[in-house]
Amino acid sequence: MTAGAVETPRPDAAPEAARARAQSILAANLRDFLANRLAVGSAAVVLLFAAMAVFAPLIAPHDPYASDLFRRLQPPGWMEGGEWAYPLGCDALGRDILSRAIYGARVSMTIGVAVMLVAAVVGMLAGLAAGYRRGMTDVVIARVVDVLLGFPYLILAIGLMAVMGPGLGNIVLALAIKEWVLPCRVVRAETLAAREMDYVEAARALGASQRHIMLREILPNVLSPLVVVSTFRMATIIIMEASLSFLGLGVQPPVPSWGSMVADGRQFLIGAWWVSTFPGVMILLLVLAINLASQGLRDAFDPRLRR
Amino acid sequence: MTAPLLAIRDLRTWFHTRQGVVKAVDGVDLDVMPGECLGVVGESGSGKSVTFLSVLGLVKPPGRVEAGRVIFGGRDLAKLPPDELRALRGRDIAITLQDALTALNPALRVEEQIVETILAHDRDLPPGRGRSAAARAKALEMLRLVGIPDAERRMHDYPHQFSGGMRQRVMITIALACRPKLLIADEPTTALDVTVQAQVLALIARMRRALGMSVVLISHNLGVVARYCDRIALMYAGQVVETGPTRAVIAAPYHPYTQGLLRSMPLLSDPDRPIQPIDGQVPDLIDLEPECRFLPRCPRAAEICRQPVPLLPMGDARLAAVDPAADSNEGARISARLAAVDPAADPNEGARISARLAAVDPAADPNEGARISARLARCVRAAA
Amino acid sequence: MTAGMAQTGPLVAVRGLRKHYDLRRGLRRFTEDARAHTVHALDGVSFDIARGETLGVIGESGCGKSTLGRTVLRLLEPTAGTVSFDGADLAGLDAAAMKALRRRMQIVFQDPYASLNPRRTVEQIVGLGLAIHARPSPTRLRELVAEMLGRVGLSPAHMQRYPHQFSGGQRQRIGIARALIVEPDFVVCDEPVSALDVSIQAQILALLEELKRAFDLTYLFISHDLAVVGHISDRIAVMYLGQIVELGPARRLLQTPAHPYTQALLEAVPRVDAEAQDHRPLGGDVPSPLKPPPGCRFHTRCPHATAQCRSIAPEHRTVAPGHHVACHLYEGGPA
Repeated sequence: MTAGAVETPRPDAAPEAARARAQSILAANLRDFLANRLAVGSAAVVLLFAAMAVFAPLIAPHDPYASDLFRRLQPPGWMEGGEWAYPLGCDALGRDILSRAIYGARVSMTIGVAVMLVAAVVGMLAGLAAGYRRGMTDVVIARVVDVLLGFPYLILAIGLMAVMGPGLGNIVLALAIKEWVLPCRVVRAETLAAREMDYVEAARALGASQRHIMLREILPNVLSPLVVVSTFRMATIIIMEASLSFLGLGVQPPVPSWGSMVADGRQFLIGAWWVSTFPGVMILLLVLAINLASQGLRDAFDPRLRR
Repeated sequence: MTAPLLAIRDLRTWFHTRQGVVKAVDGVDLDVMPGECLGVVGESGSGKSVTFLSVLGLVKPPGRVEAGRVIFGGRDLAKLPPDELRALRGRDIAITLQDALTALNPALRVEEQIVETILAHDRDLPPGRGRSAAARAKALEMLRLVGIPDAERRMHDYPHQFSGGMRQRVMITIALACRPKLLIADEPTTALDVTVQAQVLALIARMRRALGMSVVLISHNLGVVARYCDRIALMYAGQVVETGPTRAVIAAPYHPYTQGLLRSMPLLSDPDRPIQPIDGQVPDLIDLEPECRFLPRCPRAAEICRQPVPLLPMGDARLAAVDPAADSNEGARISARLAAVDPAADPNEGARISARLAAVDPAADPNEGARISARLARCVRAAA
Repeated sequence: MTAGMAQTGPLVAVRGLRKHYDLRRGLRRFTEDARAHTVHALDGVSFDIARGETLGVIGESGCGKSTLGRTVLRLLEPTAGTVSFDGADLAGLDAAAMKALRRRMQIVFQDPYASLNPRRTVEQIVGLGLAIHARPSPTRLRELVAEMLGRVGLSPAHMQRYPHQFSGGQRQRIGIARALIVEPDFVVCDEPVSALDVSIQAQILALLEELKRAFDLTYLFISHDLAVVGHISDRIAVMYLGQIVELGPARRLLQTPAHPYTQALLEAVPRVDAEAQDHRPLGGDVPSPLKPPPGCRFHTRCPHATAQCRSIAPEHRTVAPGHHVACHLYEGGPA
């Protein structure tokens, strides 16, 4: 038999009594997010990493660049031959791994946030333009998006880095060139949906300007999905940066980056596993925390995407 | 008196949401007689669909059937093992849903969907090799019966290739493929245009006569029900507020809600008649008082309306959840119709009933009295 | 109407209005044939709306009635034909004049959920028209919004709330307040009660009637519900596949419908106020507006169709004063 969807009765029949106070969707979403313990915990971890990046000089026990060849490949504090002043041990040049890992958060967080912001802004503008103006604007942007989606991400980034040369700014550029595509697609789809809504028609019927319609009527409705997709992508960006640094195309030595730290420890994996492992764990922790937090954001801000 | 095909007693289906318990169906009693067409009318949130999904055991979490009995053909459905209940659905009770496009599987040809149902439920099919051929022939016959032109060719099409009205026909075909004893048509024409709606409703009426089945027509449209149903039940906020023969209820409604509904509808025969809206809105189904649920909107509200309201027999098989005290004539009319109320069942109950119904006339038909008192007792229990 | 202005002639005059949609998107414009992908939403519609009148438009889905409402307001650009408002041809107006005119013609929508921006407060939604045209001070704007909310039966205390905190009927009241706060002369009501429950429907209908008297409004009232249109309209236009097939005074049209389609519609409506008539429902479905049938568009479903109906499109004929019908049955005077 064809008997599937059961409509749950909406309890909003008389909202009068239940919620007396004005409450925006944003406030309701935030409340939902804060009720999600896993997501809030993960967000706290992400903030912890951010704080670590900002206050690295205050937290790090040692100078991340100071090498002491007597401590070459010194094991972590709890192992034989280790000492608690260098709790996670030292690398091949005798530098403190903990201090370098703390400083490494600076590179990851900076690039993650910078690429995310650039991509979100560019993607939002392109998506709004394509979705609202339609016509040729949409055709052109859609083609560019299609072409960019056709390139494998890592290979594109490697190629660009090879051409532009290393440097923090170049990494941001190389990643953002493709990264804006996803926010753009999300914003375009949301804009297309929003511009067909009667409330946009109502604003036009009242003689509202295009600027008003785009910024006041449509934009607020596309912001939530934009935030959701952007935070979610930040995890990927951090992995991409680590990959580039691992390949030696990212931040140049001696600046500590988790990716290059993992690469540095590669050859000592058997004898001195700690050199690669701890920066690897950092990547894992941060990426996992971002993913869980952004999932929470998605559940709270964009209930349509749930499951 | 013939036994009802389907009897619903004191059904309560609640949805446990984060905001609280939504009492979507709260103490519903309904009978469907063999061969009759019962129209269930109510606005959104009145519980009309949930009532019948509960009958079929199709309520999904957070919804739960909290209490009540559903007796179909003499069997208590709650006591049936799950696989027997599943067999019953589709074979003896079939349901069609409002949105035919989402209710049909878009990836399967229409033929396959009908044949599937027939194979699953039909016991008359020959065993072995001829089985699927017989099912196929039966599917074609049904499609022709519901008036799909060029059925032989169209049965190989996918649901999206049909128009809205034709899709609704296909769904009715699937529902009727095993010649059920009861068809539950949940808003079968809400998504359709007037002229197509007329076609589909005429089809359901025709099939009811042809198959001798009972039909429950769930609709928000009083006009649809008035034209096609023998009996009508009006629901409001999870409860039945009035039930009776369609003509009688529409000609002289007892319940203030029914009266208000009829007064608020523009009429084609008298377009200039002023319409009188019912003020206010349907109550929040969370945290309901035991009082009459129509009270906040009722123009005839009185102090007694703060008490639970039983469905009172109004004679001629009519029940209305009105308060006899609100209108003295009405009270007198009820009292005149009520024979011997049995005060022995439960002292409080008897006292409550006797307090409500001033002068009971013992001269009327004793059987009727017994029936009414049994019903009243149950109603009062349900309301308490 | 603003006092002192010329009170002659119809408020709205529509002549030969056509609206065709090209369904080919993007690059497909160059690869697909135009004819197979053009929807004829409106195909030669003409009528007048007198000042203070309510013209009802009835028709089934796809007949073009919603397109009509939006094209009359020039929210959609017509493919051909003209719309004049208070004597001014809308197509000839520049952007500034059009914007000024927007204040005088408004629209109320069907869907109480899609018609209010979920991210804006009631004050922002209702006050938008004032912010665009009158530009009062924030305090004054708040006063005016509060006053308007009172007129449509909402409490001014609701001003800072968001649409999702209201029921369907209340949302519809907010939509009405948004349209009426600029004091328009003309309002297109596009199925304003179709999404509402019966008891709420009556509240909104009564409100629209009351506001029409209070604000001296002229309505174009679009609906698929004959009883609703019959109740609120002075005259009714019946649409089928992008054309008006019959137009006449409401009561007369409902009692003596001339066009076979109007007759079928009236017969098909289930009513509470009539004995179950023995009727034969109209067969078939509405043809696709992608390829409307030649001749009279109703001939594929018409019980009276002749060879002439299949080839020649009927002209509008007058069967009684003010009652016009496009049907070959009425050739040579009233039948």
